Amino acid sequence: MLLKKDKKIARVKKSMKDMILIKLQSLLDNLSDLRDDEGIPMSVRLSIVESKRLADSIYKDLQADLNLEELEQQPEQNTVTSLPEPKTKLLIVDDDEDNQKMLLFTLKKRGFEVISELDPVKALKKLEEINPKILLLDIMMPGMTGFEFLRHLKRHPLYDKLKVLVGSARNFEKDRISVLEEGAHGFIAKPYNINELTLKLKSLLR
Amino acid sequence: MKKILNLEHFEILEETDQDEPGFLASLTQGFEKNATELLRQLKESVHRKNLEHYTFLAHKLKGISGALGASLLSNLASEAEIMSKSEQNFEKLEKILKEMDSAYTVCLDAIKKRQKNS
Repeated sequence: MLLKKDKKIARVKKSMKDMILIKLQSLLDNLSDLRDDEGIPMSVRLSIVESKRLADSIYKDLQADLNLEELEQQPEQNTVTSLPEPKTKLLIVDDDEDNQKMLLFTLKKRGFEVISELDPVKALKKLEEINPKILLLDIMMPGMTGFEFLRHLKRHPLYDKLKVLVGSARNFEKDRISVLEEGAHGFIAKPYNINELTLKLKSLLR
Repeated sequence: MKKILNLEHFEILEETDQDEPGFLASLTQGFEKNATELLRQLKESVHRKNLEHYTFLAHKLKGISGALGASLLSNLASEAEIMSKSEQNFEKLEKILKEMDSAYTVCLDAIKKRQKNS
């Protein structure tokens, strides 16, 4: 009985923390128009690690003000744990099969409808048929690089309705800026931190 | 001490495996097959002194090991990729390749041990 209660409290705490992180990510995204003295967008300068640190400190303050026992006693459907998770269609374009498999299941568990394509040329052809809301794109792929893909995508009728997150192991400042200049809406470094990836995908959808 | 596995990432995979039985086993199988092949090809590229191919393979190895949370191998592969771009020292590249070979065994053992104990 005690275990069940503890689990419930842990779930409430986790949901609160997730909500705070999503809100912070959204704030960071809105900083994209601001640049520092070197001309680098603030959203590039402020990493997810820094935003997590901020979230942790805010969470600790909140924890002191909230009585989690009261929340735990509320009916399940009224607690923050039951926030609706929309099924968003996500297309992953990545030539790495293992990475795709890993993302397919972990992101499915996090509320996404995941479709994956190993071949970027085929992905571009099938884009209208798939009609995704969001695209997770790799950079280093045979046949067509992520940069080339983005150039084609900008001329595609779906581009205006689509959010693109570029994921790459080429985590250099130059690359991170280039993908944003090529029309992507965000960048995430590989290997993926699934929690960070989920937050970035969700924040792009707002 | 260097981290063998990225436990935060691996726990997410284990959590997913509870909903999708066989997911982790299939991911491990893929890693075993592909990492072995990439390490074999890396040795070949050193032997043939093909620097460009070495960079490409190290990049691939970094990706597949990272996907499974095998951080010891992933970090070494990342080092090897950077090294192959910045200097044409095949002695150093061969040395780090040997380290990657051992790291692969250590990571795979750790992954299998965790799966056995779960």
